[in-house]
Amino acid sequence: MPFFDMSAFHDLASPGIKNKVKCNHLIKKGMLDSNSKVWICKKSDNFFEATREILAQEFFRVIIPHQPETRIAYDDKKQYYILSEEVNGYRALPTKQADNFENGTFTGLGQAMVCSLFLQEIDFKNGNVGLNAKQQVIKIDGDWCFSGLTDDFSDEKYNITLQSIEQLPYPVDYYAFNWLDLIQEDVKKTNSAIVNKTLSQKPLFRAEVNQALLKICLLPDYFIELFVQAYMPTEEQRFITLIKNRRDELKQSALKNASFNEYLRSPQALLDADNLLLQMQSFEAGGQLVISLKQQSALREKSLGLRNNLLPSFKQLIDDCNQFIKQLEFDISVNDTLLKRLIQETKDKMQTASEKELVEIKRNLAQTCQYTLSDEVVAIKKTIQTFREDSGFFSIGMKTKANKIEKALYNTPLEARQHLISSAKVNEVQKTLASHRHFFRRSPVKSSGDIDITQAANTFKQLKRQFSQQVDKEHKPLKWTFSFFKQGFYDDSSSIGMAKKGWKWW
Amino acid sequence: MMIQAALEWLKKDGSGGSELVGCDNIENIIASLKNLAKKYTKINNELVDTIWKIDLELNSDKLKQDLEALRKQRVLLNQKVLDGDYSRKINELIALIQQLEIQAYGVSKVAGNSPYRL
Repeated sequence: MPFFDMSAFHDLASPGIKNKVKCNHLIKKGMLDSNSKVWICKKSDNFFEATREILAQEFFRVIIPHQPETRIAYDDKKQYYILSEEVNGYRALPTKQADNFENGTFTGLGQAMVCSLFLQEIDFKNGNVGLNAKQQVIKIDGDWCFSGLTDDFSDEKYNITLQSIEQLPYPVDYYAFNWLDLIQEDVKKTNSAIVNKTLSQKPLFRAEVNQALLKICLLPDYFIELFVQAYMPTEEQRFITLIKNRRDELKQSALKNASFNEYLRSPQALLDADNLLLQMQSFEAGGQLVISLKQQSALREKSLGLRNNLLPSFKQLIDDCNQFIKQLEFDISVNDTLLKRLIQETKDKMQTASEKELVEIKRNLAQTCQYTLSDEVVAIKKTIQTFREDSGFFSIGMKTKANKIEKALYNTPLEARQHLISSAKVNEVQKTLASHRHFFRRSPVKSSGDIDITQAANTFKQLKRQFSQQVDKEHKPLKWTFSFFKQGFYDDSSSIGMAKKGWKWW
Repeated sequence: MMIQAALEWLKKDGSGGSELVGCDNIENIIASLKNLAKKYTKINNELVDTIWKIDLELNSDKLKQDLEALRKQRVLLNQKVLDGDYSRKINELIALIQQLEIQAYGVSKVAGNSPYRL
């Protein structure tokens, strides 16, 4: 992350910042060179604390895009400062307007609370959380986030349990020194003038909680690592590990929550997941992309992979596709390069596919199964296997014939494999099946490319008979078949040609 | 004066302090006051935790226990919190600890803007 020189910061001649919240640090307002935003500047005690606070505040911005941007600056005396983008119309949360959190007038408290819980924020007091001019909840001053990593508060519990999710806005199973007006300086209060006791059950609040839970669940390791590294030049590993572990803990608990599970099935969840990906891709730390252009596709792949495993609609489709892939991979030959390539390409596509694309992939896989696992293909494979097994010192050319049939089979496009034997059009597999192992036998393949059934190998005749009967039974109307039966032998249609020998069709 | 007030607190609570009468070891007095504040905080928070649980239960769609029994229990617990007057006591103790620390060490983290440990 680029650190800004405080010489680029210019004080704004303002009457000063009025905030009802007590503050230890010197605060001033100003602008940076080549930046149109107004910044609130706060002195920080040391570099580590400054980066820790920035990391927390910027995390809020990943999950809640309208959160103010924060940056670090320093002066020539190596004093560090935290610059926070000014929030238009910022004010503390009003008291005696609790209904406004339930009717949609004030939005975003659910997201702010989930993020605070996630980041081990213990100083979630009114004033550190407030409203902007659009009545959106904004969280500022993250200097008591990651409290589990501080000396004074490392022994407290910061669990993210099912109860702590269900009972928000009340902090349950979770230590906080200040939490709205429900905990003030470690002392819990029976009533709040800010939120109603019924808020935890209200649909709008639950929707906000669910959205933040989903977004945190969907943060890929890849993003977490690059994000933390962008802000923490030192000790980044502790924070990476903490964030990953808490994400996993949150996910486990969230998935036990009925409201969250219901939300996961909604179109809104898909929209929120897509918005998170866009936010991660475009997220800037101090004006620079956290995920470089080269890293974007990797992030997309990992992010969509997580999404597909979490959202039930995707999960079902992915499971269905995987079932088809399992069927295709069972007994797949190492020489079947066409099928192997298709499976690999499909797996790659599935990583980033949209719901619509997954439906299409599933359809294609079902068709491929139909083509490549048809009775005819199974019979051809069995024939190959029989030739190989029966091959011995006194059997001539069995192995060679098996190899030729196999080569012809695996060179056949997947979509053409289903009716390789019953097909009226002569193909390479039919030719190799019909050909004789002994060089002195007359070739059944005519110069025109057609097969002379009378000269064909028995294997071919048997297969042809078996599948012509099936095809006939399945597809051909009786009248049509009968007329051809009467016409007798057709050399370009081996199945019908067999009629000459008096084989019955049904 | 402040030490006297502190000793009064400790005597009143019955949790010790009589042995500190006449003692000018301000560190010991501060430590005892902190213990007392922590004790009140613990009692208060345990009561409030239970009240929160009842409130959430009362407002839940899936009410498991008898509604009337829960309401009665809440009233009882609320009365205990009021009778204990813990919030006021803790505030006064914290203010006293802060003054004593400033007197003894020149600074105090207690009751500042940031979270602190007693």
